[in-house]
Amino acid sequence: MTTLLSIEGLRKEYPVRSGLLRRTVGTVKAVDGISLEIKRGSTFGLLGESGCGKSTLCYMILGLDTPSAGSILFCGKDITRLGYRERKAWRKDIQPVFQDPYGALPPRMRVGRVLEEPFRIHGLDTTNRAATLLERVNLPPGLVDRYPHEVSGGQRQRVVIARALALDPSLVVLDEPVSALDVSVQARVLDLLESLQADLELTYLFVSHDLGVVRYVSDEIGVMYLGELVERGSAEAVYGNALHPYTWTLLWAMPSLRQPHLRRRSDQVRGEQPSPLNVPSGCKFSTRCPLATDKCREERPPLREVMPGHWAACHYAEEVPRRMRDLKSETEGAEYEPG
Amino acid sequence: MVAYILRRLLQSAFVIFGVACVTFLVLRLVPGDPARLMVPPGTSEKVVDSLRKELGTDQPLIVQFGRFLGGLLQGDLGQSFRQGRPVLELVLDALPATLALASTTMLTAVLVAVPLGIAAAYRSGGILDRVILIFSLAGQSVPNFWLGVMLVLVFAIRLQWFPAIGMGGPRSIVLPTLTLALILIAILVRTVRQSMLEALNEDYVRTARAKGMPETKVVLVHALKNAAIPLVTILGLQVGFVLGGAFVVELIFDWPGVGLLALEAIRTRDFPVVQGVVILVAAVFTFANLAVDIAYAYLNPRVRMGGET
Amino acid sequence: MRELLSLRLLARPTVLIGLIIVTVLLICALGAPWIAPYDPFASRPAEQFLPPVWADGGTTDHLLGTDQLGRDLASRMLYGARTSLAIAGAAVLLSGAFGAVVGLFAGYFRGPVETVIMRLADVQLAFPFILLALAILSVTETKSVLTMITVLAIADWVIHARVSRGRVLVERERDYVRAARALGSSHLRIAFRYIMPTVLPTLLVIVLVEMAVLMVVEAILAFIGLGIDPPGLSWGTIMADGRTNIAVAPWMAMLPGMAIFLSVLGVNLVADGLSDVLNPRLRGGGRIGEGTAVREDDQQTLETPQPMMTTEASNDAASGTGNLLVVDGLRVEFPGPDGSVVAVQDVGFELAPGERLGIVGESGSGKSMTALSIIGLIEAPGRVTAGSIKFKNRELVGVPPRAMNRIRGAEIAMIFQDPATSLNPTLTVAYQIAEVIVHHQQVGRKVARRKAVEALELVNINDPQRVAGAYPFQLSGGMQQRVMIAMALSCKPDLLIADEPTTALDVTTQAQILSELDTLVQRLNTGIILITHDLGLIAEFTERTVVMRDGLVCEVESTKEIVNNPQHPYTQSLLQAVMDLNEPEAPRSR
Repeated sequence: MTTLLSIEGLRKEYPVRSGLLRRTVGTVKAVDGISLEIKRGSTFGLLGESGCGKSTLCYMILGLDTPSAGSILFCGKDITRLGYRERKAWRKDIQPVFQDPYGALPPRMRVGRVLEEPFRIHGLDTTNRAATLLERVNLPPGLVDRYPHEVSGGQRQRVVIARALALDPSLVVLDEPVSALDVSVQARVLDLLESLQADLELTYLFVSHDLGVVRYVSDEIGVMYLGELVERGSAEAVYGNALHPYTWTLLWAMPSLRQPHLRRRSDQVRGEQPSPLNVPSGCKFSTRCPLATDKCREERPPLREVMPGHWAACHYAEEVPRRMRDLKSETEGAEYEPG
Repeated sequence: MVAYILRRLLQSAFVIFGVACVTFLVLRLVPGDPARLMVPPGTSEKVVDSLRKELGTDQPLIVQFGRFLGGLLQGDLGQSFRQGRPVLELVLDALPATLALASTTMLTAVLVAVPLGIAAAYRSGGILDRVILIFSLAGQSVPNFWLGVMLVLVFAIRLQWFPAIGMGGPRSIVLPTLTLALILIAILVRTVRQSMLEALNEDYVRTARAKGMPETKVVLVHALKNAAIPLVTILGLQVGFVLGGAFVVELIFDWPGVGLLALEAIRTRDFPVVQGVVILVAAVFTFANLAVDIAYAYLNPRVRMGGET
Repeated sequence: MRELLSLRLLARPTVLIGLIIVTVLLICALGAPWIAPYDPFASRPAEQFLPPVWADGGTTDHLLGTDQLGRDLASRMLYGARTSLAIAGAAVLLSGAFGAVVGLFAGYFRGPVETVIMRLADVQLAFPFILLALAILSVTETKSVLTMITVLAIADWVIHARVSRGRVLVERERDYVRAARALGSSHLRIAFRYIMPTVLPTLLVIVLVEMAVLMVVEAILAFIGLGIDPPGLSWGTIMADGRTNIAVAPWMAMLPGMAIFLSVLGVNLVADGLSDVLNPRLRGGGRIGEGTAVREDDQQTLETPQPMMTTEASNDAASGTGNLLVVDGLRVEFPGPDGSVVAVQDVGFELAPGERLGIVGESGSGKSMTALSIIGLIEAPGRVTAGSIKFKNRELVGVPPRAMNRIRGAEIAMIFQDPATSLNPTLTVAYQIAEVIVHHQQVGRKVARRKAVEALELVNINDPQRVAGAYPFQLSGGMQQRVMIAMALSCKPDLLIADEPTTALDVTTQAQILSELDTLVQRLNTGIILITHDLGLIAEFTERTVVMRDGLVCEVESTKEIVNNPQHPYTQSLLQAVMDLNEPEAPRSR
C-alpha cells in the first residue's frame, strides 16, 4: 500500500501578546512536532480531546493554515509551500467534513446550490451534479430546493459529506463528523462513510475525542495530547494494549455497559488539562499521570517504537499496560452497586 | 485593567488629533475661498487679497496645517475673524451653558429611562411594556426641533409656565432639557429593555431561579449587573446625540452655549470659531467615551481582573 | 423565504400601519405634480398667512393654509415630500452600499485594511452626527440637492460599515467558510457569495432606520439655515420659513413637522417589524409561566397514543405515600403561531427517597422538559397542561412561583449542562453560594459565607478560600461544575436534578465529577434524577432508568434490566447502537 499523506515534524505556533504595547511574551504551541503517515485507502483515526490541537492539524493539511515548521507530503509532493494556482488544483484532492452540520453549510443557500458550488468554483459543468451527489449519500433528490435549516441534523451531515465528495478527492479529513449527532444516527452515518470509502477508494483522516467512534472506523490510531502524538499504532494494538497512560484514561472513559465502573478509574488521573499557555516541562502529561516520576517531569519522552509498528511517548511504556490495569478507582469496591 | 485604560487613553489622544486634522481639512478643502466668502460681493481684489494675507489663507496648505498644529499644541485655536478675540476664550465662555444643558438632559434621561426599561423587560409582553414600546417608537421619530417649537408654543406661549428663550433662573432650563431628554428617554428605554431581556434569557438567570431566588433579586441583581455592562457603552454614544441635539435646542431657546456660538459663526462666516467649536465638542465627546470605557472596565470583572484587554 | 417574510410581516398591526403611512408618503411624493392643487412656487401676496381650513379664517381653497408669500402650503408640502424622500433615500442607499462593502472588506480581510478603516471610523464617530454635516455645509457655497445627498452620505457610512463588519467577523469563523476555502474558492467569492447574504437582512433594517434618521437630519439642517438653497423645496425649508414666522403663522412650523414625524414613524414601524421577523424577539425574559392549575374536573381526556410500555415500576417502588416524587400523566405544551408544540406527551414515573433515577433519551425526547417541569422552570409561554407532580405528597403543578421559590434550592435543586454560562459572570462564587444559604436558612452573611466555603470543601476543591473569592471565568470547567454542585447541595435538598452534568467537560474531568457526585449523593441521601443521552453513564450511576422518546416513556425499569434485557424496541436499538460503537466483544450489527 502506498503512502498518500506523510507529515514530518509539523508545528504551528501562535505568539501571545500582552501589555500596553502588545509585546510578544510567549508562544502557544498548538501543534508541537507531529509526524505520521497515512496509507492510501485506509482510515487513520486521530484521537484527542478539545484543546489538543487536532483541529489546527486538520486546517494545515487542508491548506487553510500555514505551518510554522515541518512538511506535509501529499503523493510525495510538499503541499505546504505552494503557489496559489497550484494549491487550487491540489484542493480538489483533499476535502473536509466538519463537526457542526449547521455551521458547515451557508445558511442562505439552497442545498442544491451548495452542492454545485465545488463545480462552479473550478469552472466545471453543473448539470445533474447535485442530484447525483445526493443519491450517493442516500438522500432524496428533492432536497435540492431546501435550505439547511429545513433539514434534519443527520441529513445535513450527509449533505456535508456529499459536498466533500464532489470533486472526487483522494483524502477526506473528517473533524468530529458525528459528535453532534444522536447515537442512533451516528452509526448510520459511520456506515455510510465506510461504504463510500470502499466504493470510491477514499482515504480518511478521522478526528474525534470519542474512542468508541474512532475504533469503529480506524485501521490505524494516533492519540494526541497538547499538540503532540503520544501514541500511534494499529487500532487493535492501541485498543488492546495501550502503551501510554493517557490512552488508558480515554479507554476507561468509553461508556461500557458491561463494566460500568471502568469509567470511574479515570479519577485516578489528577487535575485538568493544563492551559496551552502553561505547558508543563518534561512530559506534558506528567502533572496528571498516576505513574509519573521525577524523570517524567524533567525529560520529555520522545515518540519511540516500543513494539513493531506501535509507538509511544512514555519512558515506561513497556510497563504501562500492566500497571494501569492494576489501578483501582477510589470508589470502586465500595458498597454501592448499580441496579 | 491599567493596561486597558492606558490603551484607551492613547486611542483617545489619537482620535482627537484625527478630529483636528479632519476639521482643518474640511474647512479648507471644500471649494470656495473663505476670504471671498467673508466679504460682500463685488469687493475689490486688493481688499480680498489683504484679507487673505491676514487670514493666512494665501500660504500653501502644508504651511497652514503646520501653523494650525503648532497652535493646537499650545492651546491656541486662532482668532475669531469677527470678534477679534481668541477662539479658545469664546468657546470656553460658551461651554458651561452647553454642559449644563447636556448634564441635566443625561441625568433626567437616565433616571427615567433605566427604571422604565427594567420594568418593561420584567413584565415583557404586558401592558406597561406595550405602552413603553409605542411611546419609545414615537419618541424616536419626533424631530427635536419640532418638539422644541411645540413645547414653546404650548408651555411658554399658551400656558406661560416657562420662559420661551434665554438662560435665566432654574425655570429656563426646563423646556430645553425636556426637548432633548424626551427623545433620549424614548431611545434609552428601548436599549435598556433590550439589554435586560438579553440578560434575562441567559443561563445564569435560569440557575438563579433554580436556586429559589425571588424574582426581584433575579432581575435587579443577577440580570442588571450583567446588562449594565453594554448599557454603559451605549450611554457614552448617547452623549454625542445630546451634544449634537444641543445645537438645535440652543437655537430655538436662544441658549448661550457653544451651539449658538457656532451657528452665529456660520452665519457670519467666522471659520476659526466654527473650527474651534467642532474640535472642542468632539474632544468633549471623546473624553466622555473615555470615562465610559473606564466605567466599563470597572464593571466587567474580566477586564477589571486583567483577564481580557 | 421571501414570501414567508412578507406574510408574517403583514400580520402585525404596527407594521401594517407603518406600511400604510409609507405608501401614502410615496404616493404624495411621486404623485405631487398631479395631486398638488397649486404651483408650489407661485406667490400670491394677497393671500399670505392664511390659516388651515380647520382654523378661523381658513378656506377650502387652501386646505393647509399659505405661507408668507401666499404660496399654498399643501402643494409645497407635497413637492417637499419628493425632495425630502429623494435626498434621504439616495443618501442612505449610497452610504449603505459603500459602508456595507467597506465593512465587509474590513471584517473579512482584517490586517492593515481593517485598522485603517476602523481608525477612520473612530475619528468620524467622534463627531456628533450633526456636527460633521454642519462643518462641511458651512463652507460649501452652493447647496444643491446633490450636495446634500453627498454630505449626508458621508456622515452616515460609518454606521453601516460598523454593523457590516460586526456580522462579518462572526460569520468568517464558521465552518462553511473554511469548507469553501478548502474547495479552492477565492476570498472575494466567499465574501460576496457566502457571507454578504447573511449580513444583508440586518443591513436592510439599518438602512430603513437610517433613512428615517437622515430625513430628520436634513430637516434639522434646513431649520438652522443650512438646507438646500432656494428655490429648493423640502420639508425642512418650509419649517425654516415657519420658524421666523412662528408668532404669526404657527401652522407653517407645525404641519411640516407633523409630516416628518409621521413619515419617520411609519418607516420606523416597518423597520421594527422587519427586525423582529429577521431576529426573532427574545422570549419574555425567560419568565416562568404562572402555575397551571389543572383540577380533576377540568382535565380533558387527552388523545395521546398509549405509552408503548406499561410501567411495571410499581413492583420496585414503595407504595405511593412513601415516594419522594411521583410523576403521573405529565404533559407540557408550547403554544405557538402554528398550533401547540407538545414537548412532553404523557410521562410518569416514581422516585423513592435517596434513589437514583436516570432519564435517558435522544434530542427531542422531552427529557429536559420533564426535569424543568418538576422544578417549575418551564419558560412562558410553555406550560404544564395536564398531569401531576407530587413531591413529598404535595402537588407541585399549579403552585405559584413565589411558593415554588421556597422549594427550589432548598428541597429541590438542579444543575445544568454548561457551567460556564450557568454561573453569573459578574458575581463571585462566594456570593452565588451564600445567597442560597441566606435565603433559605435565614442566617447572616458571615455565617453563610463560612458555610459556602464548607460546601466547596465538600466537593473536593483544594483551595476553597481562593475559589470562593474568585469569579467563574477564573476557574476551569471542572471547577465550575463543582461550584454548581456545591451550590445545589448547600442546603441539603431532598432531590437533585442533574441535566447532562458532564457533557460539556472533558473526559477525565467527567469521571472525577461523577465520582464526587456519587459520594456526596450517598452521604446526604439525596434522591437524584440524572438526565443524559449517554447510556454508559446510566449504567454506571443509576438504579432505575426511564427511557424516553418523542415526549413519551418507552420503558421504566431497573437499570440492570434495561441494560441486559431491554423490552422496548427503541431501547433495544439504542443499546445496539452504543454496543456497536463501544463493546469490542459484541459482534457488529450491519
